[in-house]
Amino acid sequence: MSNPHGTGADVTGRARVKMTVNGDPTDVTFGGHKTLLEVLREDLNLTGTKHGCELGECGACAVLVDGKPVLSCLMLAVEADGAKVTTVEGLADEARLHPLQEAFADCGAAQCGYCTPGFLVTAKALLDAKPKATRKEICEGLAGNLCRCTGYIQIFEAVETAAAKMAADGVKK
Amino acid sequence: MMRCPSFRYHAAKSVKEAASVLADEGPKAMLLAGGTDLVPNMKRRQHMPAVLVSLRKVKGLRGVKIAKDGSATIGACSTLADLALHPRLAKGWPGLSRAVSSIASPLIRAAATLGGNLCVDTRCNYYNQNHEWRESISFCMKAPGPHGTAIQEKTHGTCWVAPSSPRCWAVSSTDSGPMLMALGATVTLESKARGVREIPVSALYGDDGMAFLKKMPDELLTQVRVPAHAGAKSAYWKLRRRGSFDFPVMSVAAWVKLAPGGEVEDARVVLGAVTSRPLDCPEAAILLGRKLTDESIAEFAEKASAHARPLDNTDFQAAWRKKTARAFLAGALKEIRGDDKATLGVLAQRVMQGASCLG
Amino acid sequence: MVKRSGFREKWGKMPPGRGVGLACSTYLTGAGHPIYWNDLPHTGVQLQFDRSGAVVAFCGATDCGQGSDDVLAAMIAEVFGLTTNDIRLVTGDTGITPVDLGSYSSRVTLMMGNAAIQAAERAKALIAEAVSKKLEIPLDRLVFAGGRVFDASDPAKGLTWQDAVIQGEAMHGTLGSTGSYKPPAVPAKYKGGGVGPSPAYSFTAAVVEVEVDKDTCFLDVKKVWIAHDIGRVLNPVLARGQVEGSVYMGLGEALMEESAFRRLPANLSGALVHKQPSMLEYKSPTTLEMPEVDTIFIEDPDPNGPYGAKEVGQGPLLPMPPCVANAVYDAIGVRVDESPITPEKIAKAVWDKEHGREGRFGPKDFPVIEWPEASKVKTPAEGGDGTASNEKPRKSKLMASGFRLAPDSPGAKVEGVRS
Repeated sequence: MSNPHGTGADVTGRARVKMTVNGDPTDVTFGGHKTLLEVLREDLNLTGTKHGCELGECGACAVLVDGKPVLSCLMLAVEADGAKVTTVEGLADEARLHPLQEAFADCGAAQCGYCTPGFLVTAKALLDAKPKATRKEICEGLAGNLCRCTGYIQIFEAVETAAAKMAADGVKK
Repeated sequence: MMRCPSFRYHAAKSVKEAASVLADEGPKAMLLAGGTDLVPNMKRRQHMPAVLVSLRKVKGLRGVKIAKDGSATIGACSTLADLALHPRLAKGWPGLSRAVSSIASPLIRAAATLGGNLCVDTRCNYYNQNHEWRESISFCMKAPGPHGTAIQEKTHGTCWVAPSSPRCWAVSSTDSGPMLMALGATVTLESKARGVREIPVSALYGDDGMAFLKKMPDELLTQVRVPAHAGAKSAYWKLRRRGSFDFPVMSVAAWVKLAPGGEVEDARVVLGAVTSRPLDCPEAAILLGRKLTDESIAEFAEKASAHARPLDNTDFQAAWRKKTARAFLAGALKEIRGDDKATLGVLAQRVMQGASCLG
Repeated sequence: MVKRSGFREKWGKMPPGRGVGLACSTYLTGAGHPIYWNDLPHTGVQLQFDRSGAVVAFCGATDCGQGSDDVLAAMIAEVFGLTTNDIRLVTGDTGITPVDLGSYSSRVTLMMGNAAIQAAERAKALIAEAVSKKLEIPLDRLVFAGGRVFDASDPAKGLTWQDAVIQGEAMHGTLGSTGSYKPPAVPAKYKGGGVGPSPAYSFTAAVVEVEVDKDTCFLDVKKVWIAHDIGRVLNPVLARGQVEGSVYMGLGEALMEESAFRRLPANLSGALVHKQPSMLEYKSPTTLEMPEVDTIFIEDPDPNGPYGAKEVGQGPLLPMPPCVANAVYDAIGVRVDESPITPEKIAKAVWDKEHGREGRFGPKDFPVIEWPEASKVKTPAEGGDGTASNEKPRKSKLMASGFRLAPDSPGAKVEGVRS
């Protein structure tokens, strides 16, 4: 496979990137037209990240790229070369759930669960940026994620619960 | 499931390299920055570039520099989230800060760039649909050109919004464009053929839903320069149904310089999302030398709102958007005058929402 | 509700542009008849016991986020005095579970819950018989609680749950049980009487406070108070989630969600095309549109519900559109009689009112419908038996071919429900 430009799709339509996914160095070859979402789900079997509207209108596919919450359905996978990607699978510490995951379960913040991975990673970025986020800040920070089941209130409460627990435990980012 | 068409990918390392690829590949190549507008368009087959030139690894296109003269130079690839959170922008140019923090959603602002928003494709609810939907009613005139690229060429399709119209009426949907126009900003364009040129933001746009950009396909928009605010005030009011996600369906960008006595020394007001380009309101001249009183504001809003002649191709009824333009024109000036948020009405409180903690 | 929201102090007394509205609604808890009438139960639960003490419940009910798995485990755990963590569930796979008709019509908690209780009570009887014999404790003194089976008059005397199951298996062989549920027969025997009856009905009352912008008629919902008669709350967190989710969906319907079509010009094709075929255009409220919600549960156990519980999944949605419409009227004095209640419609009604017409937007009258003659049915108090006095005898082709309607015998007797 020759590629004069180092990364990305060549004339054969295949592309190869090296990225860090949930802490693991990952070298993956894939159809060069794919989005990061498609590569995560189809080539790396990380199906926790959900395929929602495909057009940036719902937030279900959010992942962290270099710590920023972005929509993996709108990021071409070739663009992730060299990036640090965190998906919902990367939140738990081995068998120990992230405080956000625990709080989402306890507070009823997940019903059908389809939006949950997107909410979890966005909420993580939000608490990383603002560990003592107010209700208003949580509401504004999560305004790019749609939830059809909960009416959001229990999601806000879960983020607040997790924030309090993380503050009490001194959990690092 | 919608997938992108295939393309060749070129990750440029420098502006010069990117300009060289654009020159070599011709109009079948497109620039890729945040991708939040281009990728959906590719999935819907509105754009099918053979080559994508990525700006992600180009150095020097990000960040804000405030010069000694007080002007700000903003790299075109700065993300909207970074700009929304930039304290000096918020202080000196609150209208710009609010315009960028009102774009789409926090998740999109984390990836989308200022240059991308300035060049964002015009929108129309007959056009922003998937390939099959558009095909089923037969494609409108704003179809992909022969190479499926940046140059949209008029096909034999009709305009579904105004079927007898010879032109496309897709709506300018940039939030930063109207505000930067009102602030008197310029953009720097760079190409292999023409080198570097700096033009006012107002000269960036053409009044046509397809040929809406005066930037040539081989040019890169590299930076935006905003003149020193020098005490002038700015405000941005955006109409949309929801507080997040939605594109503007009418917006008012206002910039006013007041004399110590409160008389208007200079003013520029630009309407966004009412036609295919941000629309300057020359009626701002009637404010000159007058104080921002209820009467002068009402007179201005009444006259300037005549420019808002929206068509039925976005959210909200066109007639109501037009009526709302008057309220928004007045509201933005009242905010600049320093009116209390509470007196400006419930829609104003929505409009005046600031950046989220994610930018 | 009125008290909690301060409705009387607010209605008609708030500053211009602000107002409150009130609306009430009722909803069914599952339908009395399945879509294709037959004699079969609407749901079934099968339990399997292991000498390790493990309890596995099989049921076709599908948890799509509403929490039916939690209800299933809770019903069984309650009967055996266990916790929900002690019950393993196999649900939704109709290849290996008894049939449940599905997650619709707000029916699962009531129907599956009753079936689960029936299955658990049947198994409990088998285990109780074995423990009673082994420990020589009279059956009526046996208590299943706290993971043990013991003598009510001497709590120290008893067995752990696992040992009790072992005794049951030793006496009866491999332990298993089934339960099922069919709603009580519908008393109405007249034509159309089988449509809509339910084993239980929920009731909801809501108050909404809104603000309408005077210049643009833009509508903002400030707060929602909602009270729901749920019979009994089985899981407070999940039940509240159902109410808040319903409020959210109801507000979406009331404020912005619309499936609109438009016709292309006749000289081009005249086709009818969907105006909002994407999630960006079919607007659902975001976090920023969701108001504060004050949720109150009214617990009045229903005799037909499992431990008195009835539906919560859909009923709380219903009062939202009329509530918002009433609040808009209180705020700005005009009525919008169709959803969504958009600023454009409010503005049109305001304009009409200012120009001497009625301040009202929406359909002007109810469509003319040729109704057939009404059925005349005497009430039970008048000695009626559910038949209509003016109805001609019917015999459908289906019945002539030997198909039987559900018998009128009282169905779905649930054994041992404690309420």
